[in-house]
Amino acid sequence: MRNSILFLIIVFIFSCGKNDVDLSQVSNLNGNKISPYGHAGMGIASQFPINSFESISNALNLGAEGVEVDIQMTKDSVIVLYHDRTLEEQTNLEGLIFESEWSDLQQAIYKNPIFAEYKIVSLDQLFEHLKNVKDYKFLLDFKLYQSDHSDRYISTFTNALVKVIDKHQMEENVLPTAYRTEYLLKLKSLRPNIKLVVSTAFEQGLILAEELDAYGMVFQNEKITKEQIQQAHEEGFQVYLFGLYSKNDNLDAIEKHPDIIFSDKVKHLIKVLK
Amino acid sequence: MNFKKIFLLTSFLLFFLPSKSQEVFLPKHTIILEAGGIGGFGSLNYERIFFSKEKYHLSYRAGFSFFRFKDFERTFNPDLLFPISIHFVKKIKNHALTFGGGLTISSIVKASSDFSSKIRRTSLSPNFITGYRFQKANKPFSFQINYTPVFQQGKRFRHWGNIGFGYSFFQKK
Repeated sequence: MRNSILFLIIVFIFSCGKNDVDLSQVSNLNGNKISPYGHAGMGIASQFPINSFESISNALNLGAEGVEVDIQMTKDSVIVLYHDRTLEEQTNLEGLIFESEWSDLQQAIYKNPIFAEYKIVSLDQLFEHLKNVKDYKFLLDFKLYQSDHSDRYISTFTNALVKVIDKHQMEENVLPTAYRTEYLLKLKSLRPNIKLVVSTAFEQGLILAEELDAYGMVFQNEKITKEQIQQAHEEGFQVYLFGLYSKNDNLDAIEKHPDIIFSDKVKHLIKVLK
Repeated sequence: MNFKKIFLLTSFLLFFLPSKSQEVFLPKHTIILEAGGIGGFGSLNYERIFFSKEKYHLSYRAGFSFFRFKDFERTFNPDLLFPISIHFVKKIKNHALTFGGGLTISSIVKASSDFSSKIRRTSLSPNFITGYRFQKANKPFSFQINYTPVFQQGKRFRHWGNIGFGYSFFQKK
């Protein structure tokens, strides 16, 4: 009896560490492989603040093939990486990104982790200083908190973005996405070959992706099925999944055969997919 | 309740709380494992009582903490924290109030200001400690809960706190 219990404990311990997934059956538009990406770097549960240079660099050095990052534009038209609406949510400063000058944001210090004092990075600085930057891809998620969505503002935003992309010759490496279509349309008019990613509900997304001649579609994992992903693939669109906060979420997403997974459990995802 | 009020209240309790004038024993050497506190997310500390008079005690404490072992380029390059502090302790039976302060020496690996290189930045952050400690007489185990605000690099004020579990070593008679 004692030996049986011991055997069961040993089996349990070994089975806990296993994350076997059958990757030979993966069928998608990414060469039948799923690429592991970091969500805003190392994800929301990391000690590194999301969208910080350190978080992104850490994810890529772990083996991620790319990262999703959140971008906003300052008052003086600098594209910066920052997720939240207000500065006080994550930093020692107060206010809004679109009302702040870049010179002010350079004084911002992320609140967490305590004692570390990481800083906000601009997209230009990220592309300039990230090692082997052209080996990676970046899903650029536009965070559009300002109320102004005039043609003039959209032009300023997209021109500022294109300027950075062109400066670093990163057109092949970026996947821009926004919930407001007019920004994507403007970007497409400036750079017809840019790989746009649609971010909306599935049925609507398919129509929009067709209209925009998009490259891919991004969905929250829990809001999409394997069959829908297959349908999107049949229509010629890559599918990217986010909203993965645990190891089980990673395994669930892999079963759906998307092209890219943006995970908050980056290390686990890389380990399972490599 | 703001920072100043908390310290005024603690000071009042420490100095004016009535207690019978009898000697209260507090072990001289204690190892404390903290979650949170002036060591960041957690730290291991050594505390020594260096002055005792009736129910009042003075102690110093020194500790260390690892933030992470590998830097953002995944090379072995640990972030280190060394919290040091001096405490004034007033003990009444099994209960003690603590009031003190010190410095946290942090040595953190991060990107330089313009992100062009990796640097190790060492800085000093003053801290203050005020809290409560429970330890039964002649028992080695103690529990403590503290409010430990930090002035990061002497510039930025941060509310912070900790809980700690201690094990005291008794001197042989």
